[in-house]
Amino acid sequence: MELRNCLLGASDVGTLSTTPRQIFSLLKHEIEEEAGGSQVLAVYGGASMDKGQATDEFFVRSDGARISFSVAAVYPRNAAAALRVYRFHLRYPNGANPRFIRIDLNRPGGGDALIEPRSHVHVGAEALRIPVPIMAPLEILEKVLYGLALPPRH
Amino acid sequence: MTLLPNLLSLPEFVFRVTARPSKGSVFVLVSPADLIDRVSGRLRSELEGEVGVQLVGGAHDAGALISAIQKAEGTRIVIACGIESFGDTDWQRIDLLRSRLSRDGAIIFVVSPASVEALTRYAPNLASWVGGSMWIVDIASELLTPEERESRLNALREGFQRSDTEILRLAAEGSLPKEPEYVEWLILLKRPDLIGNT
Repeated sequence: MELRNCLLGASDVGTLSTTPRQIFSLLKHEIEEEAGGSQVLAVYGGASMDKGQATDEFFVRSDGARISFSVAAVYPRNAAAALRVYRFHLRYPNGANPRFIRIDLNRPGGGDALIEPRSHVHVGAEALRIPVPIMAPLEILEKVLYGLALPPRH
Repeated sequence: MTLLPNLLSLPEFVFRVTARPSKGSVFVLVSPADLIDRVSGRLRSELEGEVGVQLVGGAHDAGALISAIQKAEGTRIVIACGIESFGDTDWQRIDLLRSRLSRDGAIIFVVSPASVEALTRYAPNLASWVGGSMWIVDIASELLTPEERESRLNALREGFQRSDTEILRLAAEGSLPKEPEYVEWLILLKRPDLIGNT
């Protein structure tokens, strides 16, 4: 609900050129049961991946940058909810450098935190992962809407 | 009179309610009878973040409903539900006393298809007041359709050049990459139980 209202607010002030009707259409969710009664909530905002494909499955900023995201959280039967993963992908228009910024939260456990920290940001390169603190999804959405302007052209 | 209200998702209904000046507005949201409590509860929680809202549920007759709505005068939006037992005379009485429903805020009736039929038939003046502000709640539109699920899976298969079988095997072995797209993949395959494997 918070994410939806944030997107509607951005549409209302003109930061997004995506209309409210498109926002409702692009936002989807599903709930799956895990063994033991936990529920997993997945929220999808636009396409699964942004590889530059020509589709209309994105939230589009008025400056031409486009946004897609997904969030998954687990709601155990007798414990507090916990974020499992998120992905917020901001793709700038052609000609921009960097080409994209993606803020990821991987699922927890294992791996080399120096090479692949659980919470990281990609700045224009898949293999480049800069560690960042885990943030609330709403905080990241506000960041990609209002806080990451088009990079200056050289 | 033939009723052909359009389908609308609950979030979009909330958006329309909050976008409109509330004074004197009357909305009708048609819900499957067995989901009225759930829809009303969710409606209240969605609206609570935006405006003052009060749920008036389970009035035993028209007089009790009108009285409860009048008592909520200071609340911007009243959600009236749990009125499925209302008969012809209740709706006729509401129609007759409709001026008592006039308030500074809005009223949302959450009713079943059978009740909206009765409202239209026995409370024609109220129905006229509602006008086009009547929708059927479309709960499914917030969820992925089978086609959308398959489209997302195809995007992941093509993007990572991997098959569902390979993803499930890697997850069962505990060697699935940690990136969020793989978690989405497991959820789309309805195997969230494999997410926790490391």
